[in-house]
Amino acid sequence: MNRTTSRRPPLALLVSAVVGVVVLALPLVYLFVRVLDAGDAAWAALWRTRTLDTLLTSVLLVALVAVGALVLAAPTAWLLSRTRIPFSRTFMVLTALPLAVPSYVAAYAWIALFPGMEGIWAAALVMSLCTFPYVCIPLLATLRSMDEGPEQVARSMGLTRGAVIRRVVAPMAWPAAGAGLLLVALYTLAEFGTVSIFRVDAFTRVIYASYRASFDRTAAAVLAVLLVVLALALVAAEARARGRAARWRIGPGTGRPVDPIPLSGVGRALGLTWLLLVTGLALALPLGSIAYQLMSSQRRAFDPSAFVGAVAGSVTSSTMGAVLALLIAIPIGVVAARYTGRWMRSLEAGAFVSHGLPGVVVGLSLVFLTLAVLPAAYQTLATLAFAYAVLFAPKAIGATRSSVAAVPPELESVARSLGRGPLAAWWTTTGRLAWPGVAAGGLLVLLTAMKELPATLMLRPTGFETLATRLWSRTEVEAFGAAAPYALGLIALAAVPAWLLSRWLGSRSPGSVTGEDGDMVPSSATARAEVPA
Amino acid sequence: MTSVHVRDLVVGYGGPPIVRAATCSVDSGGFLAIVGASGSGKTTLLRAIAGFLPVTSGTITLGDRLVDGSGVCLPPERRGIGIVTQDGSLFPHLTVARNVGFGLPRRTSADGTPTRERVAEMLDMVGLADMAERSPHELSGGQQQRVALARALAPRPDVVLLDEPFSALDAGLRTELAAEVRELLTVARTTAILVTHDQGEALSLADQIGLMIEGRIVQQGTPEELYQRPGDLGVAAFLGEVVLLPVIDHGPDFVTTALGRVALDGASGASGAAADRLALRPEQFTVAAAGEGAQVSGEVTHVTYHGHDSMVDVRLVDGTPVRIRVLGTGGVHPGDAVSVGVRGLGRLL
Repeated sequence: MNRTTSRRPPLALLVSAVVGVVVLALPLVYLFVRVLDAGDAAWAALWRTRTLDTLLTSVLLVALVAVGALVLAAPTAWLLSRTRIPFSRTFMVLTALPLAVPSYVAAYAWIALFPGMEGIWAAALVMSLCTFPYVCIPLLATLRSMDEGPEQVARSMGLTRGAVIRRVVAPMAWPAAGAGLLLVALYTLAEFGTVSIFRVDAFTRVIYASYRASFDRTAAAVLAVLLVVLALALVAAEARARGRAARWRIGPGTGRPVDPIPLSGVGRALGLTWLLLVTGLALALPLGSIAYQLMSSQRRAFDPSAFVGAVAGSVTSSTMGAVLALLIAIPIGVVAARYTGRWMRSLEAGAFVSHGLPGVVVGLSLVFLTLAVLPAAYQTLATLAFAYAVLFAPKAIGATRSSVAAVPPELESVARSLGRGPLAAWWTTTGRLAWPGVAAGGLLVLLTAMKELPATLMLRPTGFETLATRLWSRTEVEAFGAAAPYALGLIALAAVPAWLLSRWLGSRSPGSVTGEDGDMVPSSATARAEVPA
Repeated sequence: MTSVHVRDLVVGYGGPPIVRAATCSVDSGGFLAIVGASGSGKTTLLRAIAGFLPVTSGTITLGDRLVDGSGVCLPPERRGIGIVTQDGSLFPHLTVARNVGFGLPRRTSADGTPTRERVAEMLDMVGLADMAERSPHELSGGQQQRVALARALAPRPDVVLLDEPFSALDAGLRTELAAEVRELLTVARTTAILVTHDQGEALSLADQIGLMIEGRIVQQGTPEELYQRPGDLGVAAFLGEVVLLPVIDHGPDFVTTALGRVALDGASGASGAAADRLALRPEQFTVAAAGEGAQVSGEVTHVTYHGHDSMVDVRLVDGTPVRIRVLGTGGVHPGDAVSVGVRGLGRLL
C-alpha cells in the first residue's frame, strides 16, 4: 500500500486546511491591497530617495553579515573537522551556542559594554557573530562526512593540499554553506532589534519609525511590501539551495571519512587562538557583559514585580499564540502529510508564505487590518496572539507534517479493518503516535514567540509588557543594569529552540548518519520549519 | 467464514482506473491467490475489497451481503475483513498482546470468551505465547508477521486479506512461514485472499489462483488448471517457462512438430492465427543419450544448474531451440548429442 493515498481528504479536514491557509495569508494580502489602494501616493513613496537609501542599507547589511558569517564559519568548521585540534568536541558545542543568544540581546550586551557603538559596521559585527553557526554547523557536518576518495584522487593527480581545498573540498561543501548563508541573509533582513539599537536605517527600523510617526503610513506599507518581496526571494532561493544540497547527498555508508591532519605546535596554537577568539566574541563577551551588568547595577534597579509581570506577559501571549498556531497548523500539516496532488501541494506552499516574514511586516499589516476592519481588536492580546500564529505557524505545520508522515498509513487501515471507525482509527494510531511531535512543534512556537520583539511592540495592549519589550525599553533609555535580568531570561528561553536547530542543521547535511540519528525523527521534525525569528 | 465475489470491479485513484473490470471469487473457507506483476493492480483490488477505496463500478459481495456497488459502500470497520500487510504494520506503541487484542472488545467477546484468553489463544496458535509483553521492534520480521496474522484473526473475521505478507522475509523463512500460515488459516477455517507476485508461492499455497494482468483477472482456476491449461500465452508464461514449437501440420487431436506428433489437450483454447504454435512446459520433454529410442536428435548448447534440477538448452537437428528441465544434472554436458522426446499433452496458444 502506498505511503500516501491520493484520495481526496475528508471535506471537514480540507475546509479547515483551506481556512487556515487563508487566515495565514490574510495579513500579507491585506498589506498588498492597502498599497494598491493607495495608488499614486504609494507610487510616489516608492520613488523617494529614502526608499532607495533604505534598500541599499539593507542589502549592504545583509552582504556584510553574510561575508562575516562565512569568514567566521569556514576556518572554524575546517579546524574542527579536518585537523586534530585539541578540545574539538567542546568547541563544536560552543560554536553552536551563539544561536541561543537572540541578536538584539547580544546587541544590548555589546552596547552596554561599549556605549559608543553605532552604525552598519557595529550591526554587521554583532549579527555575524550571532548567525555564523547557521553556516558553521552544516559546513562542519559536510566536511566531516565527505568521502576521502575524491580528495585522494585529486592529490594523486598532483594537487597540493591547498589546491585540493580550493578545487575539490570547497565546491563540494558549497551547497551546505550556501543554504546556511541564505538563512543568515533572511535573519538579517528580518532583524529589528539589533539594527535599531545600532541606529542602522535598514527596512525594519525605517518601517517601525514611519509607523510610529503615524502620519506616513503609506510609506511604511510600501517599504514593508518591498521587504516582503526581498524576503520571499530569499525563501525561494533557500528552498532551491536545499534541493540542490539534497542532490549532492551520497548514500550513507558508502565512504570512508577523511583522516584529520595532525597540527604542528604553531598550528595548534594558531588554531586554538582562532577558536577562542570566535567563541569569546560570540559567547563569552555577551554573557560576560550581561553578568557584569547584573552584578554592578544597584539592587534597586531590579524590580521583581515588573520582572514577574513581564514573564507572565510573555507566557500568556506566547501560549495563546502557540495554541492558535497549532489550531491553524494541524489540518494543513495532516493534509500535506497524507494527500498528494497539485492542489495539496499548493495548499502547503500557500501556508509557507508567512515562513520567514519579518515580524515588523506582520505587525504593520495587522495594525492596518484591525484599524480598518475591527478597531476593537487594535492592540489587544488576541491580535498579538494572532500575529504570533501567523509568524510561527509554519514551524507547527512542519512539525505536524513530518510527525504524521512518519506514521505508516497502513496502521490506520489495520485499525479500520479491526472495527474502529474513521476518527477512532485515526486517533488510536496516527494521532497517538504523532502527537508528541506536534506538541513539540507547539512548544517551539511558544518559545520562539517569547523572543519576538517588533510585532509585540506594535500590537501589544497599552501597558502590556513581555521580557522582550522590557529589555527593549530599558535599553532605549540606556538603563543597561535594569535590562540585564530580561536579557538573561531571554537567553534561557532561546536555548531550547537553538539546541533543536543545531541538531537539525547538523543532520540535514550529506551522510551525517551517526549513532544518535535513530532518534532524530521527532526533533528534526520540530525543527524542520525553524527559521530566524 | 464467508465467500467473496468480485464482479466487473473498476477502481482507480481519480486518473485512469487501476483495476478494470476484475472478476474473481473464492468459496467460503477457500484460499485464493491473486498473482500478477507489480503494477498490475492486485493491491488496489485488495484495498477495494477491504473497503479502503471506493469502487467506480462493479460489485463486491461477502456471502450474500453486498458491501460495494449499487450505491452501497460499507466502511472497512463494518466488513469483518482482517488484513495483513507487507511489513505487518504492527502498532509500534503497543505490546504484542495489545496489538493482538486491538480488534477485540475490552473485556469479553460476543461469544463469551474473555479477551485476555482470546489473545493468549491466538499467541499460542502462532507460537509466540512467551512474547506477549514484548514491543514490536524487539521481534524478528517473521515474528512480526505472525503477530500481524494473530491480530487479524483474533476478532474471527469472515475473510483475511494478505498483501504480500512474506515478501519482506528471506527465502528460507518465507517458505516455512507461508506453509505455517496456510495451516493456521485452514484450522481457523477463514476465507483468505493472498496477493503476491511470486507464482511459486501462489501455486503451492492457494486452492484457487486468479492471474491479474493490467487490472483484469485474465484467468481463475485451481493451480493445476492454470499451470497445465493456461488460456493464453501471457498466463502460461507468468506461471512458468513455456517452450513454443512451430506447428508443421494439424491433425484431428494432435499436431505435428519438429518432435513429431504431440497429442493436444482436449479443451485447447486458442485457434486461428495464433494456433500454429504448440506450447509445452520444459518438464514435458525427455532427454537421453543419442540413439536411445527417442524420436529426434539434437545437440546440447547450454546447461544451467540449479541444484535439484537443471535447465538444458538443446538445438534440434532442424534448428528449433527447446529448453528441457531435468532432475539433478541430467548427465548431459554442452556439446553432447542427445535424443529428445515429448510426454503428455500440448496446447495450441
